[in-house]
Formats: sequence, structure tokens, C-alpha cells
Amino acid sequence: MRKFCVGDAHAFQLLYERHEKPLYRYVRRMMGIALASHADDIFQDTWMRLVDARDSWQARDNASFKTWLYTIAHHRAIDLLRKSGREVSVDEGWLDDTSEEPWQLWPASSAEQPEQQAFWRKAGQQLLHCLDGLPALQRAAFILHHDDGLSLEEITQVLNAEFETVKSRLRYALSKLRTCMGAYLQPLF
Amino acid sequence: MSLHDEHLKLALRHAPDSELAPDALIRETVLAYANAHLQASSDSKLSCLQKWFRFSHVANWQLASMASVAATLLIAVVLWQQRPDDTIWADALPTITSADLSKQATENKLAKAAPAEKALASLLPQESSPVSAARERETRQPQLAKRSEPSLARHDNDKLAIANAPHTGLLNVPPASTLSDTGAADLAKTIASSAVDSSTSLLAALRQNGGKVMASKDIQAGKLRLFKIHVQSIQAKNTCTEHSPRTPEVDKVSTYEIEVIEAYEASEQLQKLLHDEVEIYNETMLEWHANRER
Repeated sequence: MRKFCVGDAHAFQLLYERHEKPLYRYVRRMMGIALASHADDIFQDTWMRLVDARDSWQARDNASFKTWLYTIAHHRAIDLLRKSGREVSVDEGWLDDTSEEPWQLWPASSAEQPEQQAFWRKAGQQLLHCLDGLPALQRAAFILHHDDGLSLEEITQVLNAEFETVKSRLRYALSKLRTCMGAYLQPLF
Repeated sequence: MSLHDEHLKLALRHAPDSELAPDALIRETVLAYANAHLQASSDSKLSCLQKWFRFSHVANWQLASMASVAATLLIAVVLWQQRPDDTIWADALPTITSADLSKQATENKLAKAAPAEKALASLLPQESSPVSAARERETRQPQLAKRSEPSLARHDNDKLAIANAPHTGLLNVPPASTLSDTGAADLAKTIASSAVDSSTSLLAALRQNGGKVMASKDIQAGKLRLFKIHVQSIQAKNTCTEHSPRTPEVDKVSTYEIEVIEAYEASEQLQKLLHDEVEIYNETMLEWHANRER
């Protein structure tokens, strides 16, 4: 990013290639199935905003490029979700305090057997449906942490939220997703 | 409860959309936009500054604050530069000794003056210094000298009047006989800065010789006359330039012609000193006339 800031076009191309798919995935999952068609617009707009604001990036302290990129994308996604009325409100009562659930016994297989691949693919499809039911900020916290590998501290920057708030949202998201996925994966036990 | 779930992570990784990528058209658009942006910004560094102001770093209220501070500073600087600096006079006034004064009055000031001033300087008799002439008259007329020893502080206003006066025909000049050493220096400076005209010549002669000596010289030369000071403003001088010359006045007792010395914008103290010097001249002249009549 520093090279791009001083005018290196090739550096920007490398940045784009490195973050293209993960960012697009994040935007698309944030939009959900109903608003998937807006993912392209948000994705493109995110990069253009980044190009416009490249000079301001230099002034940021200890902010990684990835965090900054996802912050821009997140704000654009939340804006569109709010305009469309698709943002699901936080339901605090949905959290189940029982931490040990049967789904935790799922086979965390690292093998790539065709059967298991099919199993995880179906699980992934189900997970996308489950994500659709989450409030936007819980969904964002879960995706950023589990798919994009951001730490909790980085997520606090992207979501512009307190550390404890991020932890709380992530806890709610996991609880709901485990409940949602548990029934679907029951035959595997 | 752990905040990380490997099972959900694995499921997410195998989700059907995990291999999705944006359109190639989006990729081309973004890269082209970045290239165009780089080209444009390299053309003008000013645009970087504009962007810096435009994006999030400086809010409107911050811009307003900076503008207010800048305007205040500008006004302060302008007002400060317009304020007269009192220390200028203090610095300009040297600690004058008699030797310094003679240099100032006769050489330095006149040497630095404009050509017209140099012409005036050439009119002045150089045989005696202004200081010695002034001291000589002070010894001869102690009562007048005592009355008119001006301090440096008392001359501040006069210096301002001299400095503010135009250089053409302004005779706001105190007579040398009534000035202290520094006053004589100011007188020399004032005369040097005046233009050459008849009134200036008279003043220069008065300054150089004093009223009594000048009267004696005039008597020896057969110039029997009296003087009269006429003080008026610069506006009056400018408006009266077209007027016809005055009919000469004549003293009824001595029948001597009274020559009028024009003085413009003279301060009260200067007028007083000027009148004193002329008064000495006239008294000397009338006294000689009275003696001759007897």
C-alpha cells in the first residue's frame, strides 16, 4: 500500500489480486441471498473509495491495509442493508447459555474424502442460510473472525465497536449458528 | 464459551460461494480507475492537498477555526505595522556632543541631503559652526537663552512636525539662537530638508548668525529692514500660490520695509522661538535707527 501511495500502479494490482476473492466473499455474505446482486456494486465502490482515500491511509497508525479495506466495505454494506431494511435487529433473548451442545461433536475432519467434501459443502450451504438470519453486525463479526481471519482487535476497528461489544456479538452469532446448524448435521453423529 | 469454532469455519470454507470471484469487468474498471487516479495525482501535487482536506482529516469546523486564526494573525500584523514605533526617535537621536553636532549640522546631514538640499547648504555661510554661533548668542542674551532651552523631550513634537512636513518651502524651523545643541542639529536638519526660496534663505541666515548679528551685518551692508513672521497652514500655502504679491509693509517709526517670513505648519514652540529671534533682529535694527536719529 505504501508503494501504491507513492504512485506504484503495479503495487495496487498486487493488492487487488490478494484481496479480491476474500473481500468479494465478505461483501456477498454480508448482503445475503436477497441482496446478492448488490455485491458487485459494493465491491467495486469499496476499491474506488480506497483509491480516492489512499493519501489518508498514510496518516493512520498501525492500521493494516486489510483492516482498512474491510472497514470501507463494511460501512458500504451496512449502509445498503439499512436502506433496504434488511438489517436484522439484535435479539438478545436468543442467546442460549448452554455452552456444550451435541453439534460440538461434529467431525472436524481435515481429510478431503469425496463424501466428507459433500458433507461440508452441504454444511456450508446450510451455514449461508443460517448467516442470513443473523443481525448484520453479528454476521459481520462471525465472517471476519472465521473466514477472513481477523483478530478481535482488528474487528473492533472494522466494526468501530468496543472490544466487549465485539465479543458479545461474536458469542451471540456462534450460539445462533450452532443451534441453526445442529439440527441439520444431526445424522452425522 | 469459545469464540472460535473450527467446525463452522470448515463449513464456511466449503460453502458454495467460497470460490466466487467478481466479474472481470469489475477488475478492469477498478484497475483502470486506480491508474487514472495515479496519473492525475502525479500531474498536480495540489490535488493531494485538496484530497487531504476533503477526506476525513479536516472537518468543516476545523477549517473554520484555521481560517479564523489566519485572519486574526493577518489583522494583528497589519495593525502592528501601522503602529508608530516610538523607539525610532530614541534610536535616531544620538548622544550629541558639540563635536558630533558640528558634524551633523554641517557635513553629514547636508552630504546626505538631496541635490536641492545641497544647493541650500551651499547658501549657508560655513565660517562658523552653528553650535558656536548659538553659544555666542546665548552668552549675549542670557535671558532669552534661559527662556528657550528646549529639552529633547520638548522637541519631540517639533521633530514630528518636521518629519511630516513636505520639503517645499516649509519653514517650521526654530531659530538657532534659542536652541540647545540638539535643537540646533534639528534646525540644521530642517533647513537642509527645506527648498530654496527667499524665506528659507532668511531663516538660514537667522539660524547661522542669530538675530542680533544678522541685524548688525544688514546695517553694515545698508540693508535696513524689519522682519515679520507669518505662520499659516500648508493648505493656505497651496491655495495662495496664485495670489498676487503682497504690497510691502513699512514700519511707521523707522520707515523701514517689513519683510514677511512665511512659515507653515510650525508648532507653537517653534513659532515662539522664531518670533523671539525675529524680535531680537527688529530690536537691534530699531535701536540702531534710534541711535542714528539722535
